[in-house]
Amino acid sequence: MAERTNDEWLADLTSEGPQREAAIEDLRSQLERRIFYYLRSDRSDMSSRPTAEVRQMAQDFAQDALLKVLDNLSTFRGESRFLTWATKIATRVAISELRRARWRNVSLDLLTADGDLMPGILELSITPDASPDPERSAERQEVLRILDNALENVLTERQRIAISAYMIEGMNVEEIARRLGSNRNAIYKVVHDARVKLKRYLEEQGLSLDYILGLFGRT
Amino acid sequence: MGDPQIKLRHLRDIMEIIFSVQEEDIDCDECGEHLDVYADKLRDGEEPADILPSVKRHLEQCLCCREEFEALLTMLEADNIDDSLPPEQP
Repeated sequence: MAERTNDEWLADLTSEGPQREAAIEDLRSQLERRIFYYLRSDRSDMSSRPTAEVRQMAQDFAQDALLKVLDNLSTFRGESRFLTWATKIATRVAISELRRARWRNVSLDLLTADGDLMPGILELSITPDASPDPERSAERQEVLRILDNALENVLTERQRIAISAYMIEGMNVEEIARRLGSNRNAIYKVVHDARVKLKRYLEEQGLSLDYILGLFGRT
Repeated sequence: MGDPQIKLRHLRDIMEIIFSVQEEDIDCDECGEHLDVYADKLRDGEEPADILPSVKRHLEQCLCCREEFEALLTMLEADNIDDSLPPEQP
């Protein structure tokens, strides 16, 4: 397949007839190839699914991505290679779908009806000391108490809900936004502000990351 | 398919998430705007953080964008393989 320059891509895709059709098919097949490669890779949730299923997904995602690329041609600024820009769009399509599928049937049992983490839940995030030394146990309990207190008292309700959801393994901002009926950018800011407040609070309490990591071990 | 088991991140990971935040940060939309340029520079052997330090900073603290960036890099690797797809049967 001959390589097109950015200008050639844009010219062909905005032309008519066979020239345009050829460019569209080249683009579509490149995207499908890249998406398939990604879905097959270790980074993807789909890496162990049957090949036929993954091929179908790659085709479907490539089709969606192609439409988005064509709809947004005018936003391409030419600062990157056209195919890289188009692949970025394909990445978003694939990951959005994978994230939706990840959480489709899952109810977040760790959260209450109001979206708060169940009280005392942070206990679940640590493995118990194999041979507890009383002083160390007491220090660990104290840190957990400070954390619980921080979550209860330092954050707004929205911040607490968002950051609590974020503490669930594999959870991400896009999924939280979807569940709260918000958008990803807004939730990212809420989580960001929560983290800033928590970090400041913990530092004021004299807790550093190194201290906490040391206390809760490498189990 | 079976429900994935819900569990909390380990406390160490939660703490890393909290402590890795930096006060100054761009948002995900702005980061996304530059990911293709960032990826190209990286693959060309240049240091993208020189011209896009804010993207690097955001990727360090945003798991969502980092996952997308790593997926983009993976997809771009497909170029290095001769036959990413099995041949079509006519």
